Amino acid sequence: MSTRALFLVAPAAALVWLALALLLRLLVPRAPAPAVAPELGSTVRTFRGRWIWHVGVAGTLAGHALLLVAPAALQAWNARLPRLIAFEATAFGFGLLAAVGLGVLVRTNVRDEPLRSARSLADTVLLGLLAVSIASGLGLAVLHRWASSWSLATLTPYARSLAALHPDLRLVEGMPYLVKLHVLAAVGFAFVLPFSRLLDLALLPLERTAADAARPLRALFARLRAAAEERARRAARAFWWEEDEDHVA
Amino acid sequence: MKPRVMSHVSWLVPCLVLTAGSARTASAQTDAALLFNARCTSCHTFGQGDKVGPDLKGVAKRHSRAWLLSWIRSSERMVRAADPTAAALFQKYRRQRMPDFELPPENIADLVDYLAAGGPEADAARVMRAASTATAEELEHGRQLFDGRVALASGAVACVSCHTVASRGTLGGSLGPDLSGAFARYRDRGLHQFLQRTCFPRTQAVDTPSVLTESESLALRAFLHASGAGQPAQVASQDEGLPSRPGR
Repeated sequence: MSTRALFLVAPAAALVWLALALLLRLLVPRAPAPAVAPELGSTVRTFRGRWIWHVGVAGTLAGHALLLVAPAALQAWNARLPRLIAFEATAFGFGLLAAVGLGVLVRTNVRDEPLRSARSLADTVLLGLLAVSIASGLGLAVLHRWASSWSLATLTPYARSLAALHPDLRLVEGMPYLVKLHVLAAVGFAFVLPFSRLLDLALLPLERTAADAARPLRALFARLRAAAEERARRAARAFWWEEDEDHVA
Repeated sequence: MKPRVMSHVSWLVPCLVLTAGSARTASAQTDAALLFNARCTSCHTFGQGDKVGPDLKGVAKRHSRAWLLSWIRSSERMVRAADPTAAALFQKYRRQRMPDFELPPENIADLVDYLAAGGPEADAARVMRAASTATAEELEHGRQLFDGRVALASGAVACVSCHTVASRGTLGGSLGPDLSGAFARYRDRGLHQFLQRTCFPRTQAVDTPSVLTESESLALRAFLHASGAGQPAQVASQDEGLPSRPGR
């Protein structure tokens, strides 16, 4: 497949698809919590894993976020070799934790029969893409040293150009295959995520936060509604009282 | 199938190849120089006599600009149209064929301007200082620029992000090649031209400024010159052109 198809069309389509899926997911009402609870429990067990997985993913995501959000600060930090080595070693450590954590998670998924039967194809593909992503990330860190520096001149501007809907293919077309694989795994992840139950899990905190934030408003609306209903009841009682009395009599 | 005459059109004016779709840069002159060095010099000289094709020194005086633009765009068409100058050159240079290249008009114009402005000789006249003349301070400055301890004026990432210089014990990146022998291979002019452009992306937008200032170019060339001491001189052939993009 051409570079254009892989690094321009596919990422753009993945981003649009993910945005649409998120929008639909947030707008379309879901079943009430008790109805989805058992399924959600299975989803949690499929993807949650152990602490090593949480720490590894959180650290790795934080490192990637730094690359995207604060490239200048990272460039300044990396200007001294000891600091560069410290950053790279830390990031690599988080990557290793994520790899081990994913290994444990996959083993659980394979061995646990109820989980295996509950898991969809999309869930399996998503776990596979995570494995490819982590493995290629670790691989490029080893084979193409100082990724936290060179990606500031390549992948960071490429990701930003994607976000600006003006992808600059020249930034990735000359990259080694392992780097391209790392990027494509992320694109694939974005494609498959809406099909997977992981999206439910990922949106759960957001929905809970939104629900918590809306609670005072809901309470206010409930009070206002109750007051209005009470006023209406009193008015109705005053209007219909005599007739009611006669009717009762 | 092409007519027979198409295969006998002469190679008379610069043999130019430009990657399709490559963008013009802010420094059209630098681009034209790169183009000339990378491709034209296999068949032409500038001030050193005829080779496969004619010496291009003074070509802009021998022919009108309009004629040169047409000729470079399609020498085949001109020979087939029986242009007298084209036909004479075709006969003079042993009917050697010069293929037509799909060059954007602006690149052809830049090249003609470059040749008219004195070409490589003019480059040499206003040339940067040679790396071998750098002072100890400039050499140290080059080392710091390479390592990233001193930031480049353009804000570009340091060379060490992708490259190492094993001969100096630099623990650099491994995305790009070891630059220990870069100076021995490309010398002052080649490196200077290469350093005028960013590594990523190699083809720049029109308004992209040069990556390095003259002093930064000198300092880095001095560092690479010193790093390559002891490396056998191995000047890149014209066909090899400039250093390739990292990761290729």
